[in-house]
Amino acid sequence: MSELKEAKSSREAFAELYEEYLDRVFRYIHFRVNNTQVTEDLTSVVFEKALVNFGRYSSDKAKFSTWIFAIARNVVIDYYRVNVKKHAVPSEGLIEKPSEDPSPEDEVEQGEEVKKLQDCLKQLQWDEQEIVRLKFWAELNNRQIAKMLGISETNVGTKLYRAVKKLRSCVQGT
Amino acid sequence: MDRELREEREFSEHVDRLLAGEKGTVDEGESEEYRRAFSFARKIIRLRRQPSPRFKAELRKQLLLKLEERQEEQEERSKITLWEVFRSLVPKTPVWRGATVTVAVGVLAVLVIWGAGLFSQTPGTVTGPESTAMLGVPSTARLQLETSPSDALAHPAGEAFQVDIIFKNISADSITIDPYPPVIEIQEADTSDVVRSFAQGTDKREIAPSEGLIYMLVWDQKDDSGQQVDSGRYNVVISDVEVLKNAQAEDAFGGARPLVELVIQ
Repeated sequence: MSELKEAKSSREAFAELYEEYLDRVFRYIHFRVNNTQVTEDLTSVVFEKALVNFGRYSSDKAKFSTWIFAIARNVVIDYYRVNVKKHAVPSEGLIEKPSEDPSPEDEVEQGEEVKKLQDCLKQLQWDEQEIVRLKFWAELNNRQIAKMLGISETNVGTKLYRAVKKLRSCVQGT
Repeated sequence: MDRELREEREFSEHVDRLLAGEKGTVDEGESEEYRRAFSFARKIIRLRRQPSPRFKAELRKQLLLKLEERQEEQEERSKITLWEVFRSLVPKTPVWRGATVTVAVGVLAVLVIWGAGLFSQTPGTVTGPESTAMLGVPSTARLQLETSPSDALAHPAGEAFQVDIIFKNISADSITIDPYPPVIEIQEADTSDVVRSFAQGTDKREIAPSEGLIYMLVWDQKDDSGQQVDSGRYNVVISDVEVLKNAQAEDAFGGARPLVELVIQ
């Protein structure tokens, strides 16, 4: 009986965390690779790794968000390590047409804007890039970002504001 | 200066509210620059792509199925009790059973006499661990770490270092490194201060006896905050590797030591 209860709670716990974090992990990876098919594959890998290591996760050591985004970052890094040298990652907008989403015209326009944003982001310093990605796509708070990057919380706030200003200037050409 | 500091702090708070689904408005007193940045943050949020409901549902189903399979496997394993293991060791025929019990009693008797120190010339002075060592029972899994190149590497500032770290199993059994890769640090050679820490991975890797596993480390000469480090000597250090041997956690090797020196000119 207790085993059954434990099994049920473990299943429920993972299902709850999945519901809470899937969108954020997906968005974070999508912005990194800008391709829906690749994003779906990598998101699956992240959650499979989380599932396999779920028993080892300890909330005393880190929040679940910090833990799962550490996995997501490593999965994306591994993906680029293997794939980028072989061929360029296709950027979407022109090649994809998701069914539930905006019209094809909106889709193309949005894809181009994302591409422009990505290009401008690459011009920022490494830590500024990561702060922007972790804030807007992973929706982490400054404390969580600070912990992941090993810098102070105040520093995250400073760098975020400056990075967004730089991005805006770059995207809008001002 | 104060205004800038206040804006930096408020900006994060405003963005967090936007991300939480609140509408978010900027006070009248905020600067034009702040308003523009805030408006741009809104635009970034609009550009984010959502996963399709089909993908969400399929992945959820797939993961929960895997979770159930893993739980069933664990339950199956836990059913094999110590008693069942012992019973499986005892032969079925009466003759062999008798022989097995006789040998077991004999071994037990020898161990009791040995424990009492009767085999020693100075009774009572031989301790347990020393006895084990005398019998030559291996106490730990053995993992040897090497690098390629093994000699110090020198590069000008800004040029990435690439080092292959070889995890070599020098024991007689297969071992599993879990997690893989372990934490790898770049330390200043003189002070041992950690300038860059590469987080541990989430995989595990099995290594057969006498086999090796190669991990390619690339260091872009930057510290944990993304800044180029100063010229000087740095060491690649692995402080701990978690190893499983026959499903038991074991110490792989003792303590941190520099694997290779990297020199930035």
